[in-house]
Amino acid sequence: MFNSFTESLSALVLKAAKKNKRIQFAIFFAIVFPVILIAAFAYIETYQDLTEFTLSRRQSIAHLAANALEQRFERLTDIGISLATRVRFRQLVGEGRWDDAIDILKDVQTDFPFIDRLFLADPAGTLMADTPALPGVKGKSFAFRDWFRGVSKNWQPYISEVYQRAAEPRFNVVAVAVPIKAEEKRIVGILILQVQLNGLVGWSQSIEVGPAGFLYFVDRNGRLATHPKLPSHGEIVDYSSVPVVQKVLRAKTGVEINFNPLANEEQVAAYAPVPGIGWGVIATESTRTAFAQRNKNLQQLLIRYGVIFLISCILAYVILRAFTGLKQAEEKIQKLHKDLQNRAIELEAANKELEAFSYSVSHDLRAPLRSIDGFSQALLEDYPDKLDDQGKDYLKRVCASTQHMAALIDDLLNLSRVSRREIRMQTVNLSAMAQTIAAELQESQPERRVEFIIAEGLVANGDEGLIRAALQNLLANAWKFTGKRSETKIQFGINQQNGKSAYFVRDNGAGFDMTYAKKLFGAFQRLHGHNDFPGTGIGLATVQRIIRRHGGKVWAEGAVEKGATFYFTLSI
Amino acid sequence: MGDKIILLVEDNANDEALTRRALRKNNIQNKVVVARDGAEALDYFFGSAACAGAEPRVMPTVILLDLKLPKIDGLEVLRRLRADERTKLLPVVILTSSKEEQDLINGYRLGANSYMRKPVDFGQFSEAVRELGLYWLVLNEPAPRTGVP
Repeated sequence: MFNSFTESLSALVLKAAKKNKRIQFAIFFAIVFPVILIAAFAYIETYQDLTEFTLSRRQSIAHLAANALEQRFERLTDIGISLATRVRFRQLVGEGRWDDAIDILKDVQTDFPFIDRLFLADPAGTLMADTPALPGVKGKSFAFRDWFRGVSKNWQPYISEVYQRAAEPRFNVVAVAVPIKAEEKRIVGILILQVQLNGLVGWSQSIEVGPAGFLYFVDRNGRLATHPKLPSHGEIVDYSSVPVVQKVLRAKTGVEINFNPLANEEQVAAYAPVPGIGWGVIATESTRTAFAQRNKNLQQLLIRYGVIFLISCILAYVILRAFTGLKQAEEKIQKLHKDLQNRAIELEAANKELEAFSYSVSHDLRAPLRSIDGFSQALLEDYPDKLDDQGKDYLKRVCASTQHMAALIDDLLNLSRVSRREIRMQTVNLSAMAQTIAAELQESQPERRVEFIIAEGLVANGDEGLIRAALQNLLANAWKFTGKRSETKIQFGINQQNGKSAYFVRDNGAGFDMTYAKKLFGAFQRLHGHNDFPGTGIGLATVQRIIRRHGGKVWAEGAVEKGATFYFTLSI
Repeated sequence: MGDKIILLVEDNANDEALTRRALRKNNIQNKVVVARDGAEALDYFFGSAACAGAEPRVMPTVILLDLKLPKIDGLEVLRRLRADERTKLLPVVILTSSKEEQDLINGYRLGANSYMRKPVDFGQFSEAVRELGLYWLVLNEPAPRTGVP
């Protein structure tokens, strides 16, 4: 039972879904698509913003680091110049008193700890004195060094490329060479400040490029000046073939994502040239860590929009369900409506048929009755001498039967008319109606002494014609069944029955056995013999039909030979 | 009174016999012309001498018209009689078994002069016919018309 119900239900849903698939899809799309669109836009925007932020931050770091390095070199150069231009110092160098001259510089290292060594060379590049002094270098020519070539070109202060110092341990160093000039700009020597690169850019270690990012510096040849992951002594690594190094050495600033073959992964590389000295700074980090935060944010964004998407899907589903439900309900209503219309049409057809039938009954059934009665009469009248008394009695019975049959037909027609007739509601004065009917009854049998007790002022809503027919039937019944009483009392009034007002017609006539109370209102049901009380047995059926059409109820109480009371209500 | 014709439009031979008997019983000797259906009735007035035993165009004094008739029903016959100048004013009494409200209303609306329901009881029927004959053949003063001497 339940299974078949669910089956038919799902079949119905499927049918509805098939019919409205396009509409349903459109609704679903209309709800879900904006969410997808917003999510996509938000994702793209966030992606771009965070990427931009990550890249520009590294770009700024590279730029700042380049500026910081430039300032360091400027400061070194300033120190060199201020030392080289001391009058006493210049004199000592000019007089060739190298050891005395270097003595003056002994304390410089204390003040500037990142200066590794200071030494003096003659204008030909031969080392003449140094501090702290290293054995075996004095008198050696260092003209091959870059610093000499650089400073001797124009006799201007010069910052060398990166090189390994001669003495062990062979740190990577850089030299600031400043010419020492005597009177009339005569070059008398060269002051060299040798700087350990680690000391020079130590600060760069504390700049946070990223969780796994770092800065490195290259000199103007693209050789690695300092790299936090590589030792600051030993062989100098040549990075000149690295693309970003090549770019920065062409004085270009930028940031890019490229493949690092050494680490075998993508990396973010921001680069900035160090102005004035032609070096470069590169801030680099694996994309994996550089974009970790961005990816984390994006992931959270995706999760959030996933939840929103899910909710919108559920919402769409709920709406669709409601829609389908509505649609189904609508279809159901339409179907019911159609059924109802069909029923109405059928009913109307049935009514028409019934009317035609009634017409035929009233016309065609009566015609033969008329003949039977008429010709029986004719026999009685035209051949009285040929019929004995019994024959005449028989013919009279034939006539009486035809009368009864005619009455039956009329009552039946009445009953069917009562059912078919359209109800026209109006206010009906029941008391006045009862009075009129009572008067008519009295007039039909003036010899009878009947006391009518009719309550005043009873008014109800109903179809006047039908209610008159009902009241007529009830009062005529009372009249008929009191026919054998010498003192007759017929009452019409209203009283309370089971908490409801009910009209009643009461008589003190023959009454009836309550056992058969229910049979009273059936058509052709009679509780009395025809000889006692003639009738067709249709009157009360007609009454019941009229009362029911008024939304009321009719019932009876009584006892044999103790009268009967008929109650009825009118609820509309 | 003897030259006045009654046109009885009745398809039931028994009813015809009973009507004739009732007329005879009540000493109404007028000629009764019977039309068996609506078409025959209309033929009497507008057709080419279709009704045997009657001179065409002798207008009846009263028409006793049943409603339920073969071919053309009584109401249609009445409608056509009233639509024609020659028969417009003829007294028509509907004599039928039907007591349907619709028939009554339509009968009067179409211009019936009287409506009588045939009682089943012959005594009542006979009385009704007697009164009918007395009223329409004796008391009633018909509208002046051509074709009546």
